[in-house]
Formats: sequence, structure tokens, C-alpha cells
Amino acid sequence: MKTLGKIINALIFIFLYAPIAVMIVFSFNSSRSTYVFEKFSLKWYGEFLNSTITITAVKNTLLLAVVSALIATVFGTIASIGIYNLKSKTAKGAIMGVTNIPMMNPDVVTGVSLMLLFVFIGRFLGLASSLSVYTILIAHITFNLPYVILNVLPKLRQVGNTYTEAARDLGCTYSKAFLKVIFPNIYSGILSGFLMAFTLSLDDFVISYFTNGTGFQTLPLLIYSKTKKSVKPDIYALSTVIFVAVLLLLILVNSIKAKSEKQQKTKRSSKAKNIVLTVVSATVCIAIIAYSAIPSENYNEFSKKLKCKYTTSLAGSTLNVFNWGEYISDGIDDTLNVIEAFEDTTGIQVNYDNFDSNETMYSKLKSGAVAYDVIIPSDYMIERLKNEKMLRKLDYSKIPNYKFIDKKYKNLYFDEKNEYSVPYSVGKTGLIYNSKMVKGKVDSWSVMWDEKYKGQVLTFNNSRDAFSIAQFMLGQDVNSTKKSDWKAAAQLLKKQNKVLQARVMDEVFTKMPGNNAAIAPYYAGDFLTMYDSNENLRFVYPKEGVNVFVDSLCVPSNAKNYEAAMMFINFMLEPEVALANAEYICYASPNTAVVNNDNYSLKGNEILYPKKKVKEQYYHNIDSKTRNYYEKLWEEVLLS
Amino acid sequence: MSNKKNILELKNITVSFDGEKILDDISLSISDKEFVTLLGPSGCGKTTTLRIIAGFLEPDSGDVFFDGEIINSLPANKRNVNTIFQRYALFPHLNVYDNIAFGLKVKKVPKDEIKKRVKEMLKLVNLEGFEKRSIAKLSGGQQQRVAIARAVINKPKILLLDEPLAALDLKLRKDMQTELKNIQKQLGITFIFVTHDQEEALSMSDKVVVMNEGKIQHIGTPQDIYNEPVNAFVADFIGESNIIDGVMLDDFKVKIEGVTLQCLDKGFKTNEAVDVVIRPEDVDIVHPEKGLITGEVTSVTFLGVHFEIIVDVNGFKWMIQTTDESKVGDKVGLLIEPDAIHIMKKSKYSGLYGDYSSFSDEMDEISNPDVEIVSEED
Repeated sequence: MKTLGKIINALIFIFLYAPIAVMIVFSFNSSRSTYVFEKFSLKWYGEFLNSTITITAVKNTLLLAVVSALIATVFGTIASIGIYNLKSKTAKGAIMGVTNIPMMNPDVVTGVSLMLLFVFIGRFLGLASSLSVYTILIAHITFNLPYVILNVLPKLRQVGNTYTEAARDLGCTYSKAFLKVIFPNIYSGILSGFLMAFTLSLDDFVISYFTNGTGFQTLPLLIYSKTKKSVKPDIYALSTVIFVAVLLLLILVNSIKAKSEKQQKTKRSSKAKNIVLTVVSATVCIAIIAYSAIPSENYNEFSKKLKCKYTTSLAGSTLNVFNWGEYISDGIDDTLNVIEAFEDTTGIQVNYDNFDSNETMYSKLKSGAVAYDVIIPSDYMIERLKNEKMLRKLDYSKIPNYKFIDKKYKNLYFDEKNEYSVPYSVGKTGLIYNSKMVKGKVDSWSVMWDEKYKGQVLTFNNSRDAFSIAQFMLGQDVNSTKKSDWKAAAQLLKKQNKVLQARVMDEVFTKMPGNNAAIAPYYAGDFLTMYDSNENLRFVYPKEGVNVFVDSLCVPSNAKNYEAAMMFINFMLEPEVALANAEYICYASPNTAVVNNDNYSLKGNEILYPKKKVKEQYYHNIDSKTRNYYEKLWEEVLLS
Repeated sequence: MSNKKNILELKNITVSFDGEKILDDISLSISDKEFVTLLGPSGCGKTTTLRIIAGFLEPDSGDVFFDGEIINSLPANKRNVNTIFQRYALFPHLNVYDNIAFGLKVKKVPKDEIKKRVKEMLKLVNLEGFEKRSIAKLSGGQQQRVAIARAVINKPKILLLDEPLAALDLKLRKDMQTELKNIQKQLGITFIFVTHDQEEALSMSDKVVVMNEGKIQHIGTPQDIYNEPVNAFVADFIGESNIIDGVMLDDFKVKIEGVTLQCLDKGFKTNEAVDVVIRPEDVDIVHPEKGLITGEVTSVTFLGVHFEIIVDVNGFKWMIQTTDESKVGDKVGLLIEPDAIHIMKKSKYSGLYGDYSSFSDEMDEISNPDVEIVSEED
């Protein structure tokens, strides 16, 4: 029994810390591989320190955590005293129950209900965008409060009323009695309440997601939005830094606590408490100061390369941009920091937020709780937004750089008259295979059904992309509204189940380079990233056809800074800027100034810019009836 | 005694919590420099009375006079009264010195004077050299002394003591009783002492106030309440008593158990039903033929100084303390001198006490499902 206990203890320890250990090890890996440790490098630490987006998120997160925890601690302590001094036991029970419910509530419920309340009040007050940095702050205070009360109230109970009475008996007023005898005795409860609130606020995603306004992205929000591309090791590096910081803080607090307990028996403990307080606040302050003191680059040289003149007439105004995660050049590895360059050039302050899917972006926009000036949706979503009158026409006279856009990306189906959108980035699906594992010529999606490769085939874990492969095989229109078409495609997908290893999205970045699978469909640009770590990988555009998508810059109808939006869009088309973005994103660029630039490392790349014509089809916005139908079929496929 | 002025007066004080009367029309006068004890079982209202005097509680009705002035709503911090709490309530985050100096620091007394007075106090309570000691490192008796010093350093007119000795062991309690009494004499201030221990009350007080069910039952000197209890409750609560139903035939003549006895009481109506109190130590056990009343011994307990013998007389169990041994089953006679008999008028407590089938009321109640035994919370 004893040995069993020891083994279980060891196992628990391993389960708890092995993931963190792995993460720390790979944060020092020189490549982005998650299965081979190439060599020791601090590269990823440099990357996140150089990324203004990440650093801003860290700053925001810390600031929010400190402020919300402080306010929650003050209010929570006062509330605890109130609850403790309630005479009626029923009222006490009822209030405690009400306070505890938010802790039991799923975060989603808390988040959604808070968002609804904020939007409701915002509409009531006639605000253009009801969500802001204040709403996320209020939300964090709200969910932190019960935890502070939970920590302080038991301490108050433990201390009891007699100290207050004794102090009053000795001449203190109520408030003086609290300060002189109650506070010193419930101090540890208040401190642990504060620390708990601080950590909870630090890593909250769900509630922040629903209550956040424009331009105040926290770290969890940033990390979750980075799904357009895979999570990069700079996040491991950042997480390692946070882990170590929290660890140090804990060790510090514990050692001081232990010391003060020892001291309490011989000496006064107030000194030790002061030390704890000083240490905690000092840590927080140093962190904030350190992060705010990041030197900004000088953009004088850069500005000479700009094709257009940019006035500073809008300097001081704010521009809210909503983009995919990791979808803009961010200054890492001596690349251009596009946002900073724009701010430097125009004096406009950019609030930059990320989303992880077209649908997320759509629902945020639709709720009316936020107002963005520039968004970057994909083709079918642009069609939908346009149909729902959620986009504003662009003033192309203010976007002279539009001339650089390749004409094959003009007059596209979702914006036939070129009124609403400016292409930003172009991608295609295709088939990736491992040449060591797959024999013979591959030119068709049919290889994904080949029983020779049973257990080695991956496919998309999203319905639309998975269906499109079957639809191409069957020679259908991917935007078909015929039920029979979708049904046939579903039949074909069910047949594929027996050869499939898994349905994946981001995991493909580890599975394919790691030789863990032989065949996978994915996006062309991402193949280049995988090829960097495994040269046996090959890419092909299957003859039956592939999906092509265009993400474009648009302006929502409720934009507040339209002129700045025009300036920003034009700036994004600047050859230097577009080049930096194309290099960073690794997808095909619709910008001729990039495609023809000799400095472009991917110039003429066979995969991004195939010479042979590829058979391709855009997704269109599909009516909800058809969408519901194929989603139902998709579930059947998953379950069969 | 009569020319001493009243320092504190309670007039018709009533207090209820949740519709339950905790104090019911309490009136009490306390003279300067008096040692007064509030005595009663838990839940009798003695602590509530103390809290009203301290200022932690306002009476629902009635008035509190201090030096002739009404102080009903004067907050605790403004009263010239200090309290020693049941569990002392010493501040754990402060050391001995800072605990004692607390009241003076709040009143912003100059540092030098605080130092001087704390030193005096430490001397008074025999704790010199303990200044820097933390509270957690003190024994119960030492904490008790710190609590005394912390209260009396403020030179209160009245010191309130809420069962201050309850947490100490028996011998230390006895020593502290003497010490408290000495401190009171030395300081020359009024002590109001709350206890449920009748022995403590008798040995220390100038005046004892016996309380039960929110009412004052009896006020008097220790001798008064022991020798002349006003009702069965007081007789039973103070010491041990056999309380027997009797009939007053005439002045100095009472009939119990069918036997007429001589007594020293008079002034009752002819044939008035009364409660007759006979203390256990006042009964002699004699040969059945020589006794006035006869009964059978049902239990004998040796207690060192004497035997405690229970005698069944027609179903009523008498307790008798005597140095003569008897055996269970012996037929014995009981001999009672006239001056051992105390006659009381019938009260609501008649018939509830004074029979030694069991010693405590609780013992009777334990097996009775209709009675809920409530213990006092404060």
C-alpha cells in the first residue's frame, strides 16, 4: 500500500509537471519543431520580446490583473465585513449562496450574460460601441469578487467579534478598531484573496473574450487567436517566462510567510507583512515598467521607400483593426513592424485585435458591441457582410496603391464592382504527402482513399474543407445547394473513414514533418513551413480542383475613423509593407509589386505561384438551410 | 454602606432577540468600589447585562445611569468602563507591552507616560520582564494577567469581568480569586463580575445578584442568599438543598412528611403551603426510633471530608452530608434542629428543585424528548 501510494504520488507529480517541462525544453529549441530538439537557442525569447503585439498583450494582461484584483480586494473585503456582521442568519446564508453561484457558473454563462448586460446598457445610453477596456475591467472585478470574499470571510470568522469589542472597549471607534486589530489579523486572507484574483484575471479567456472591447487584447485572447497559423514556440518561451515568474512569486510569498510565522512567536509580524506587500507590488511594478520600456524603432529610412505621401492630419486619432492572429508582419527577426511603422508615419494610434475564424469575427461585429474601422474577412464572409449591409463602400481615390493589385484578384464574385474590398492575401488548399512513404505519382485526391495508406491519412477537421475534397472528386460545385450532391459527398467521406488516421487542423504541423502521417490536405503556404523541417514532403494541386480563398481588407458600416481606415488600407498595399507581410504570412500575395520584386524570397515559388493553371473554386456564402443540412451530414460522417 | 453613592444604576432594562426576552425588567443599583457578582446558569442574561453596561448593546427599553447620567446610547469607546473578556481577546498581532499600552495609545497619551504606566501595571499583575513576549507564548494565567493590566491601565470607574476565570484550572482559579480581590482593593474601583460558579460568587463578592431566565431572582450579601434564599431556584442554585413541600400550621410550626417540626419562621397564613429548605449538612442521621422522620438509604458516596448519603423518605430523596457512615438499605431516622429549617413562599420554581433523584436538571431532561437542551452561545 505504501509503495503504491508513492508510485501514485510520483505519477501525479509527473502528470502535473511533465507538460511544463516539455514546454520549457522546446522553448529553447532552435527550430519550430515540436518533436526534434535541434539545438539550444534563445531565438524564441527574442521573438516574443521583439513582438510589440505580444508585449502589448502582456502589458494589458498585467495591468488588467493588477487593477481588477486591487479593486476586487477592496470591495470584497468591505463586502465580507458586511456579510459577517449581518444579524439574520437566513440573510447571511442567502447572500453567501448568491455570492458563490458565479464561482460555480461556467465562465461562458458569466461572460455571455455580462456581455448582454453591457450591450443592453450601451444601447440604452446610445453608445456606438458598448464594450471597452472598462467593460472587461468590470467583468474581471465581478468574477474576482467571490474569490476575495471566500478568502476573507473565513478569516473574519476565525478572528471573531471579540477583538473589535475589545478595541472599542479600549477607546477605538469602529473604523479605528478595524484598522488596528481586525486588519492585521485578516491580512493573510486579504493577501491570498488578492493573489487568487490576480492569477484568475491573468489567465481568464472566456469571460474576457465576451466582454472585451476594441484595442485591449490580453495574452490569453492573443494566444487563442493564433490559429490561422500554428502556435509558434515564442508562445512556449512566453509561457515559460510567466511560469518562472509565478513560481518565483510563490516561493517568495511562501518563504516570507514562513518567516513571519516564525517571527510571530518572538517578534511583531507587521514588518514581515510589510515586506510581502512591498515585494508583491514591487514585482508587479517592475514587470510593468520593464515591459513599457521597450525601445521603438526608427522609421526614417523606411519612410523614404513609401510610394505615397501620408499626412499626419489624423494624428492622435485611433484606428481599430480586427485581423486574423499572426497575419501581419510584427517586427520579429528584423522584419518590418507594420503597425508601428503605420503609427510612426501617420501619428494615428492603432488598436489591433485578433480573431480566429470568420464566424467569430462575424458574431462580434453583429452584436454591435464593438466598432472596428478595418477588418480582414475571407471571400464568402465578405459576401455575407455585404448582403447584410454591414460593410461600407471604400473610397478608392484615397487608395492609389490599389493599382498594384493583380487584375485577376479584382472583380471577384463577392465584390464584382470593386466597391467594398481590397485583397490582402491569397491561399489555396492542396495535398501534402511524404515522398518516402507514398510511392508513385500523386496528382489526385483519390490517394486519400487508397487502402495502401490505411492509418496514414489525415484530413481537415472542419466540415467545409473536408466536404470540398469529396465534392471535387465527384466533380460537383462546392457551393451546390442540391441536397443530393451533399448526400453523395457524405457517402464518399464515410468510405474514407477506414483509411483515416485523424481529422486535424494545427496538429498537421507536427504530424507531417514528424513522419507520423503520409498524406494530408492543407493550405499551400503552410506547406512551406512544414517543408522547412522535413524535405521529404511534397505538395501537389490535385487535378480535380482545389479551394482558393482571398482575405481582403474591408471597412464595417459602423466604422468611426473612415479616413484613417482608407489611409491604413493604402498603407498595407505599399510595396515594402506588402512584401513584409507576404514574407511573414507565407501565403500568395495579390500585390504585383511584391510578386515581381526580386527581393521577395518566394518570388516565382512553384507552390504559391504555380505556372500551370490550377483548377480552383471559391467558397460562396451558403444559405443557412443548406449549411444546416451539410452540418448534419458531417455529424453522421464523424459518427459512422 | 447606605451613604455610598450609586455609580451605576439599571432601571427596568428589557432586551429581546428574535422575539425572545433575554432580559426582562432588570433593575439594579451598584455602589462605588463594590464587588458585585452576577450569578446564574447559562442563558440567564448575566452576560447580556454586562454587555449593556459595557455599551456593546442598547436596551430595548429602560435606562442605564452612570454617575447619575443616562448613557443608554453612549458608545463603548466613550464609557469610563473597561472589560475583561471571557477568552481575554488579547490582540495576537501585538506583544504584551503593546497590548497593555493599546488603550493609552488610542487616547494619544504621551509615550513617556505610557511607558511608566505599563511598567506599573506589569508590576501590579506580576509580569515584569514580559514586555516583548508574544501573546501566543503566554500561559492561560499569564494571558489573564495581561488582560487585567490592559483593562485597568485605563483607570476605569468600573471593571467588567466576564467569566474571567472559567478557562483556568481549579487551583489557579483559587489563586486568581484572591488576586483579583486584592487588585480590586488596591485600585479602589467597582468590579462587576459575571460567573456561573456559585462558590466563586460567594467567596469574592460584596453583593451577589442571582439571575435566571432574564430576571433577577435575589440580590443580597453572600450570607443572605445562602441562608435566606427567596425561592427554590436560588436555594438550589446556591449550594445543595433539600426542598420539601410543607404546610405552615402556625408561627414556628411547620408540617412536612406528616410530621410537625419546630422552626424559627413566622408571618405566614395559617395552613399556607410553603417550600421548606433544609441544607444537607444540617440533617443528622440517627437510629430510626430516635428520628422525627424515617427513610431508607439508597446511596452512599465517600467524598473525603464527609459522606453524601441519599435517603428515600416516602419516595422523596433527601441528601444528607454527614461524617457517620451508613449502608445502603439501612433504615434510618432523620433529626432536624429548628434553626436548620428555612421556610420560603411558594414560587414558580416550587417542585422543580430540591429532590435528589438526580443532581442536575439536565440529567432529568436528557431522557425527555419534549425538552430541548439549549446551551448559551456567548
